[in-house]
Amino acid sequence: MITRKPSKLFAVAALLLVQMAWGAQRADTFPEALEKAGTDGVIAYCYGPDWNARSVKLLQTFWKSPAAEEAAGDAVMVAVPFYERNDAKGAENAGRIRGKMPAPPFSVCPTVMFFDKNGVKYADFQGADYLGADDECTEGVNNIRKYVQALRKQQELMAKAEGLTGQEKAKLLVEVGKLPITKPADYLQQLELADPTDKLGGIRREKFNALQFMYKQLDTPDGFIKPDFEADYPQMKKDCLEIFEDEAYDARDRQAVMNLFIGQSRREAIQANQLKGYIKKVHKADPETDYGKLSPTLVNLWGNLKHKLTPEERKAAREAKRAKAKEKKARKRDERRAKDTIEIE
Amino acid sequence: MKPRYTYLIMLALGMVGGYIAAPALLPLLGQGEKVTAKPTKPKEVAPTKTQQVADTQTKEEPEKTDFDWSGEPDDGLDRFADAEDPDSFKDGEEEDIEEDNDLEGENITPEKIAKYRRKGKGQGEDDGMRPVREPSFKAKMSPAVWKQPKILKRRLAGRLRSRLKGVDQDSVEKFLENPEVRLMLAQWELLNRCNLDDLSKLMKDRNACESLAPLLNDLQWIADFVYDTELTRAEVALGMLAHFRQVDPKMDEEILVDGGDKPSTAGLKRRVAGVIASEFVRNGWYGEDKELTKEELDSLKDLGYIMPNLPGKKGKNKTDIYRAGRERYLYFAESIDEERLNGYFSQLPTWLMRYCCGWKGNSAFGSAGTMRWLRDNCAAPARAYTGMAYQVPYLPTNVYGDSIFSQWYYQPFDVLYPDNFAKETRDVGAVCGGLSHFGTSAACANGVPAFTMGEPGHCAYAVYFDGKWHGANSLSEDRHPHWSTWGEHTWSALQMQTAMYQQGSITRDAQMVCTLATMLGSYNNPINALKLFELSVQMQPLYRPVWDFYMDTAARSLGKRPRKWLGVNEFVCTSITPEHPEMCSKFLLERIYPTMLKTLRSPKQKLAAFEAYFKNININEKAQWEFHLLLDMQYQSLGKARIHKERFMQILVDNVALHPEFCQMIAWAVKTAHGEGKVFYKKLLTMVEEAIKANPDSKDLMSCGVIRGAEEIGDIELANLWSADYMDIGKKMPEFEPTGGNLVSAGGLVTLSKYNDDQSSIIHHAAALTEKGGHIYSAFGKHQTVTVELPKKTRIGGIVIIPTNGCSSYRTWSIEISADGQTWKKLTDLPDSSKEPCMRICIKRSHPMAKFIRIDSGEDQLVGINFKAILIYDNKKAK
Repeated sequence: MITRKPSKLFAVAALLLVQMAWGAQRADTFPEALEKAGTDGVIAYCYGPDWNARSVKLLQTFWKSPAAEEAAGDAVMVAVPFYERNDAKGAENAGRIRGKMPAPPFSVCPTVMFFDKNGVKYADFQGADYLGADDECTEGVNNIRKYVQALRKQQELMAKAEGLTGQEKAKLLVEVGKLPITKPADYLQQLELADPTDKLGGIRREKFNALQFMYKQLDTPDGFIKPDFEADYPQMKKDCLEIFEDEAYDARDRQAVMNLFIGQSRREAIQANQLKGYIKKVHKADPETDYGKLSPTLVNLWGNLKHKLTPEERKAAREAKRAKAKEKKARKRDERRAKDTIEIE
Repeated sequence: MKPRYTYLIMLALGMVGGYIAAPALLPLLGQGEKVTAKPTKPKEVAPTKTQQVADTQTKEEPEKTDFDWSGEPDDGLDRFADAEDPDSFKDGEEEDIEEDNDLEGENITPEKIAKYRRKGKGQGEDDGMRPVREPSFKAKMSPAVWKQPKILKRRLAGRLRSRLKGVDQDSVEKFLENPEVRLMLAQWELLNRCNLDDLSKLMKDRNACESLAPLLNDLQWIADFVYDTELTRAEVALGMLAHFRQVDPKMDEEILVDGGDKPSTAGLKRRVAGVIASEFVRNGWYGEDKELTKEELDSLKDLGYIMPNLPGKKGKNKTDIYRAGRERYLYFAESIDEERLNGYFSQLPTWLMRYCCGWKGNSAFGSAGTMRWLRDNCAAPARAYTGMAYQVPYLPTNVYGDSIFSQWYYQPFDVLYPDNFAKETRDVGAVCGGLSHFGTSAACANGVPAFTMGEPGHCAYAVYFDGKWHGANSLSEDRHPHWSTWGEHTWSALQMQTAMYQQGSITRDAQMVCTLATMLGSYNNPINALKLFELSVQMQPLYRPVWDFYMDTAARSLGKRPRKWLGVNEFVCTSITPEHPEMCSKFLLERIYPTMLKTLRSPKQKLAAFEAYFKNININEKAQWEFHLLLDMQYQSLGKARIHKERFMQILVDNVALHPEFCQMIAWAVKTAHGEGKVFYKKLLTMVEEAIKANPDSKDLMSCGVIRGAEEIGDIELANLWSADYMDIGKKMPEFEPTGGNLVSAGGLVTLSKYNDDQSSIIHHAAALTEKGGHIYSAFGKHQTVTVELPKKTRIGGIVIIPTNGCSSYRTWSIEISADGQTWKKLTDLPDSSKEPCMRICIKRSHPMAKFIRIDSGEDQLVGINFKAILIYDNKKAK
């Protein structure tokens, strides 16, 4: 059999070809990266050359690894230094490399920041929780892949949605809303136009704020509960269950709302079995969220609380409640009287 | 295989190869990014030639010295045969040391201080961001000598005394130039801070003795350990240190970075170990106070555990008292080895390391798990830690609706975050305390100095960078560090200590002179001891403890001689007051005035002494401290003669006019003068007017002082008179509709339950009672009240309140009225929140008669009153 050795020149040419294909992913500065950016945008690795040896090490073992490049797809990758001291070696070039790139949240390094081709940040992650504890940052590589794919998906859905109207468009927009990255700037307006009656629930999902809901239920504008606060338990139950059972809302938001109701139920000392039932519902809604993971603990902690009360204590609690209600009634009566003479605007 | 397949395979291989090699080749093609950072060095690296040479110089051939006790005697004490025993001193030997009984306070002159200060700054090293460099010196002392510390202490004293040729400045400076002397001084100081019986027991453990001796014989280490910390119960700290060395045999390894030419962290772990031991012992942070099982004890013994004697501890010898310190040390050792700390940590001087390494060893925020997580997830440049607290959401109520003040707030989440309270806090939420602890803990875990501090009704924190402390999550300048500085928790003590350590080498010398003085004092040589204490305070007047030693020793010498007391007073005022007036006032109150004021009989002398304080103030900072204690003591000591009191007020007013940030002192003067009668009161106001004429720039703040004084004594006329120039603040008021009736608040008087640090708004109080608007701004806290006293009793028809930042939240606020300022009646509550720019309270019927109207923020909220206007109308038809 005749075999021919490939020439060295060919091998080098092949290598260069490959390298050029991947070389386009790298840039020296953030402005240069934006210029080169395609649909996958720019991914920036923020590190601290003079103060954070760990991020410098990861620059080699993680950021420059083939795995990270593969995960980044066609995104342009750029390493951006953030110096602690201006007189540190190399600090004079930091401004040029960074350009108009925003600083990482809380200036923490290492941080990986994701920008679309227009330079708008759509995601970021930082620290060992998201990078992983190993030097190769396996977790970080997975996260890069996750966010780049989410951006692609978003672009794909938005492109499809552009030619549509009404419910069809709204369906796609709702899908966009579920992606783990920042939504396009005019997302809500588009959704309101496509689904003005909010049949698909995307608008209420987008506008819902669990914290505001909670503060409203607890009648507190700043989070500090009034000493004499008494919840309207039946109304709270109705409001909370209404949101919890509406799957249009984000699962974690639904769980948060249910958590408030569970907390209030505990304070109202309802039957243990009922309380356990509510806790299990939270778990079922999404076992993977932190609230979902907490459920078994809560069953143990609070599931049997009621039984710990002695009959005397229960009686005392009932009486205290009655006394409070009486006091509240008297106060309202006073307020009504005061209103006759004082008008507050 | 056909050739075309071979090419295809080669192409595929090329692609794979290119994929792998591309990053390496990118720079060659100019397409890759430029990497400025160098690769980190592996942990174990063979020393370079340069380093080997350096090691040979420092380790194998220490400086030749007659303090070489390397003969390895059985008990080590034979080596002392040639050392003088202080007890056997002959009289003649001390003749060289001049004794001057006629010690005058005037010896301490501003020129001398200036000389020392120039020396400290002139060296260009003392910016407080580098460790004090001692000469490289290690004594070859047998470890065995430490087994009998009492004898060692005596012998060290003997040797030091024999070398001291005089107690004048030149002799002492020359004396301190000898590294061997410096080492002996540090060793004596260490022994002086030990319970020698307990130290002897510790050192009888061979492992402890052998592991500690190299540290105790190393000048750089021991001087840092003794002088840059606030060492208490040093023998327990040494026990802890010995334990650390057993647990980490690599403690002395030098970590090489940047190619290995320079050991950037030389001695770092040893320094860290010393700091942790001293801080943990100082704060009493030990392990669990519980009986250990035999297995636990055995495992500890395997770790080289030495059982210390801790007085007052239950279950003696049954408790792992080193656990907390060991955990902290291992955390830092691991972080240093893995280069995970802030890159500038290794350059921190020892006194700054105390804040990071000594961060709450008894708190969940200081656990190794928490700190590890913060290190790996919250690494930021030093200045960024001032904002790190805001990673934590401010949530007084958790997702279950449970208040942060209840046991339920974190309880359900504990299981998800074992040994990681920082992450739990970030995910669940917190209020000010949790936020500030998170920010501080993040900084300390990364090797950036920080500490938490209390402010009125609030918890804040401070971070050190750019050579000073920066407040973070801070609402007030009334700060009380949760960090003890010389046993005090005041911001001013911290500032003074920081300033002191920033003059590193001069402070170190002063501390060594203080050691020498203490030593001479303890061997019945009080005269020379006093001279040396005096020299020490001259060298570093900011070293607070030496003042106590000096005053204790000087009390007898100063006696009842006024001239001497005046000299000391002058020195204290010239050296401490300029930048640390609060610390100076405390020192005067505690140590100088109680005796000096009894000694000085002439009020003129007293006035001269008091003037020395005021004229030396050289900072423009708000007086946040209890200055009235100083002023009261000074004023009352002048007796009843009005001429002296007037002179005192004149001195006070003239000097405050030069530093008007101290305008609260004017308020004190107004109140005091008011109590002295109309003539005196008028005279004081004339003095203030004249002082303003002489210093026109001080007018606004001086007026604030007068108005505040008037408000506190209820002088409506005076407050309105001095406010007349400030009735138009030049800011637009929001549009509002009066309630009807005539405006009756104009010309009234505003008083606050607690005034804000920012005094400048006081001049706008009067304007805030008119429709043009002004500014009323109280301190932050619970139960804040603002009271308006109307010019005359009136039937109230309506009230309009215009807050500065809109009506966002006035939950639980209420309005009360009173006819006499004593008996109060609730009028109404304010609405919870409103988007309107003002709140209008219209009274339809039963118009109450009132002279005082009070707005109360209530008990539940932490707020500050911040209003543009409080307008009160009567019930009559508007004119």
